[in-house]
Amino acid sequence: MYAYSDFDRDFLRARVDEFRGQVERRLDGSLSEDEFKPLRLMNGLYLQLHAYMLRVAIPYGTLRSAQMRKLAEISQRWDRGYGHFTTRQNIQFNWPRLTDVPDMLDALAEVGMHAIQTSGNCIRNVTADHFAGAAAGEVEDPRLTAELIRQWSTDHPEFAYLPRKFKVAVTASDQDRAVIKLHDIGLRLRERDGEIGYQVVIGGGLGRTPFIGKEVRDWLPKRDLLAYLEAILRVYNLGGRRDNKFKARIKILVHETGLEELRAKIEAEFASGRRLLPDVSPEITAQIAQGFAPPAFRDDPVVPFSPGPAFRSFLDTNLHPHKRADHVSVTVSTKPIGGTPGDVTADQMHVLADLAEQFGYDELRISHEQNVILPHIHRNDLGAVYDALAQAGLATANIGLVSDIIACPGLDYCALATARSIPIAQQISTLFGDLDAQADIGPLKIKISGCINACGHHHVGHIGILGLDRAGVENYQLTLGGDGTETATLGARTGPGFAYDEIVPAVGRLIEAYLDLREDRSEPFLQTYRRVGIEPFKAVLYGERDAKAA
Amino acid sequence: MARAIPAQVVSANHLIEGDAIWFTGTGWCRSIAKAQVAETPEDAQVLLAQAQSGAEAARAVSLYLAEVAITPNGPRPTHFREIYRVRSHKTHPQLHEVS
Repeated sequence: MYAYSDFDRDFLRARVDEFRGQVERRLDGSLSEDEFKPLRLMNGLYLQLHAYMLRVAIPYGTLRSAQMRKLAEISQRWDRGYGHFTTRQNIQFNWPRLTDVPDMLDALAEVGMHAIQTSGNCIRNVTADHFAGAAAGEVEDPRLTAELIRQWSTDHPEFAYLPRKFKVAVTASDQDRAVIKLHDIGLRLRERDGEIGYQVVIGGGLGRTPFIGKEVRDWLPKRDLLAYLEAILRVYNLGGRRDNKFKARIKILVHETGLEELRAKIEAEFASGRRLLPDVSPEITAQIAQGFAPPAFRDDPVVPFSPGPAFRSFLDTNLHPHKRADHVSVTVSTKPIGGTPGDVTADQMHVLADLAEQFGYDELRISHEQNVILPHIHRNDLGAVYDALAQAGLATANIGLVSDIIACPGLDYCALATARSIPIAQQISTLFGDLDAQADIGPLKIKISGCINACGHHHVGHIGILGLDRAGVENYQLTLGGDGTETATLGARTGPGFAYDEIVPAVGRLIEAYLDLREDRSEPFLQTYRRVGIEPFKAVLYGERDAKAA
Repeated sequence: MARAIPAQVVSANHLIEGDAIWFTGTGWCRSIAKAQVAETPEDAQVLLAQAQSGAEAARAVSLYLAEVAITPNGPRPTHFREIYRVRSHKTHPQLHEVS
């Protein structure tokens, strides 16, 4: 991963000192609230429903053990002993006092972390496949590209005040685990005639007006990446709407301008050779690659073992194949039955850090699905890892199943939310608490957002739930058939929404219907939905007659 | 029939703690039960202006009017957003010892 230079460290210290001064000036009245607000947001500090929230960037979701321990320490010392991992691979602390935030940022800087560009209309934290560098079938580690973009986009002077926030995701696999088609720019590394380059997708996004991204280049040579990104950003910066924040994302520019016209503008800008920053030197590329060199994998022969039933379930659901046959990637669920998706306590963070250090070559990942990954675990260590996870309440065997729910913080925390998300996730998880029953239901992605901004990715949930305020009452809309992978699809709305106490039973009926409709256990929910369509599901939601009207 | 005009209180966040506070008419408190109630839209604007004038000194930020019902135990929020705000946080009872 990245390694900070003296310049980076000095820059970060200066930024923290600057913010400390801004807080002091706010407290002594030199800065008004209106003056202070944009300054705190530039440092990732939001004012939410019950408290401040500090959003910390985890570049491409990669952490070292020391960084995870520091997050634990911060949560214990200045927060309430836990953190919340988000759908953008970040972590949020939900209860800091304003006066403590400069110290929290200082603590983060000690391990090369910060909260810069986790808010505001700038290029946000670059996300990547959470199995990057570990999964088989990658062209190369996509984090090399993500890190290059991180260095280029951090404090980029031209793109600090874009029409709206801007999100980039990178994958290097045919299987899209980074949701690249729902980002402002999605990059997929590919190989052609022995050369590595990119497929470039633009204009994807969720929120109020969701769009699947469109391919603007099927092939971009690697050397041209930053020049091409700069061309896209420059065209967007000039053409993106600033009169209406709901129409300011690049997806609207793509939609209103048309892909062909926009592509022509981007290509013309690219061809002009106008560059604010110089091309990347081979030295920089080599330096970045050095930071992502694979660890010295152990070569011990794999010793067969006979797991007990609980461990067997864990092995069945929480492992992902590694590029080496003697290793696996272990996904640690942050979603115990009835728990809050994405929340991890300080004690659990310490356990995860210890496991990464002892068994995982000092690496951890955060997935956009709000889980934690130990990307490189030797198969002989699985028993020890499982035992430690089980003892820490982190061994729930539910990855990819009905209780592995994405949920935004919703109205339990968020000032923008229009309904609660977390209690809905908790109730669904509890309703299907039995892990054997979950395994029988099979792969199913439920995603819940507490407002139209769609931080919970509900548009691409197999079952999506959107919480709204309908005349002063919480109301939940359902969408079906969404998919955030390489076969990206936006979910279709079923019809009228459901009240708070109706939505979980409604989800229960959908799943019962799926079990009746599927051809056999090998046909997952999404496949059944694509085969039979929405009507049978509407029928169980609204009744046969009302389904036709819905 | 015209909709009844709801009573309102002034709510805000504390600058340092960030938590919810309410204007009492003379100062700020952390219990909505002690909030000053305005029963007409005109009174609500006056109350908001009064709250704003002392907000900086009291370290109150993000002021707004919130609808309430008047009960024998004082004002109670009517909209679910405000109800959750008054209750504070409940999804982690083991972690949140909030009154």
